[in-house]
Amino acid sequence: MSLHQAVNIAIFGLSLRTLNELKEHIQTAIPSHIQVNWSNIAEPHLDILMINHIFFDSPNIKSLIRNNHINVLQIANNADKNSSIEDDILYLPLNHLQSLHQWLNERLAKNATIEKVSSPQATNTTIHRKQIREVLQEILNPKNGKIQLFDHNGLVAIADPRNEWVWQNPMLQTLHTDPSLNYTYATQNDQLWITETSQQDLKQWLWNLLWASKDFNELCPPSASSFYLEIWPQPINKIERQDILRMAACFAKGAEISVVASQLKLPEQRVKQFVAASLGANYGKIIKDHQANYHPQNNQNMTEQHFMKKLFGRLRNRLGF
Amino acid sequence: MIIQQYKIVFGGTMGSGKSSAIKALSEIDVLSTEALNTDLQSHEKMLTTVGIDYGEITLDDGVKVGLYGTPGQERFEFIWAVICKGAIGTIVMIDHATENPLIDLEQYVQAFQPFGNYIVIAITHIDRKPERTLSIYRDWLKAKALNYPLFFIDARQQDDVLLLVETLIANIEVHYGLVN
Repeated sequence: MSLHQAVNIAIFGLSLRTLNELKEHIQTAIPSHIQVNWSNIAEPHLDILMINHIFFDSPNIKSLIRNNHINVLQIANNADKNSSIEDDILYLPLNHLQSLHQWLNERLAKNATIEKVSSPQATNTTIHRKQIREVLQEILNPKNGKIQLFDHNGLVAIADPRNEWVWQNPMLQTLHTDPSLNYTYATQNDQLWITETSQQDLKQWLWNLLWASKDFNELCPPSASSFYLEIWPQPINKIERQDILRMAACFAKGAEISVVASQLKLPEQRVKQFVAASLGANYGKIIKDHQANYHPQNNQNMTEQHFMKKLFGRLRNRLGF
Repeated sequence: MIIQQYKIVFGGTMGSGKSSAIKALSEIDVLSTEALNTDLQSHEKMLTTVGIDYGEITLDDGVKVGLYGTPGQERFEFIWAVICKGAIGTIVMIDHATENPLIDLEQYVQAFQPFGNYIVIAITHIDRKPERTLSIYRDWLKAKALNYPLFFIDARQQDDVLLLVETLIANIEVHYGLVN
């Protein structure tokens, strides 16, 4: 049994730069035994909402606060009052963190709603799989306009699910995230930097993100036995491309995970990693074993098979893959 | 015309990048039969392929693999059968920026399906029409119950073209149990 505390914090209506700075400051103020979950305002168990004061009086926000007993910190600009907090309003710019730290610590100390999680690992995994699936669904939900994707390291990208485009944060050195991946609404400031960044296909980008991040394997349910691939991933990782394409070729016919692992001589966990990324990006579906149509043809004679193997081996060698 | 025993076919619309793709792979100067384009309604490209682009790759045992770019215009459809017979596979290239790329896609997929099911679809020039979403191609495939590999590429980039060829090879290797 593990015991830890978590606090759900949403920040709304701030520029990207301010948002990232604030997140960093909050992380420094919160004790290490409390896990910060960056959430969006739709999170039903929100503990703290930090919001641009311009939006504070909107009916939706008022209703949200009234019904959920959330600690709210408004954010406003006032150089004369910089860094201070008065009546739950934090004034920017932040030149020191004393007031912010004090405000957070007071709220955390008295906040009885901070979730105390105490559950077996299996339950945690199920809950977590559900949460990350919900986030991925929203990233791909065509009803959404532009949204910010972030994890505990900060901004990952701006996505436009409606038009299936994504703009990756240019500061991101490698495409990688972790299960803290979440989203919130994009701001006007985001519009500025994305005009200078090349847009990518959202679905292919998301598949590559999930594949590269390795720790989304739980998206593949333990009960999954066979999988059908409807959309092929376009791998960006050259080193892993051969395995990815071969797995895709098997699953495009509908295949059993164990058969693919055995046929391609890959660990089953790696094949499940492919299925997990594909399920997360909505690239296919779990099927029943009897629906799997991948059965490698081994009916050519040995000479023919040897010849074909050599031909394709030489072609691979010649083209460098 | 040289017809190699082993070949990869690049088919698709005028200006979709077939010639560039073959150039990216071929070890010989690509033989192109280009002429002044008189079909400016379809495409603004001044020179277009009226015959066949030909490039080749020589394997270390001396076997040559021919790379054939088929004519862009439908009136050269009769050549496709000659080229596609016995091909390793076909790469269908579609220019995203044309007026109706889905009509092109439908036409070329239908044209090449009779010659084998090893087809890879490459969508090019996506930067020239950023307002058009890429999901239209996925939706089209889904509506036709097809799941061919569909990639968004720059035909001038060798690695993008290599991805297409590697996909064809991976598909055949897996189908015939040629892995390891």
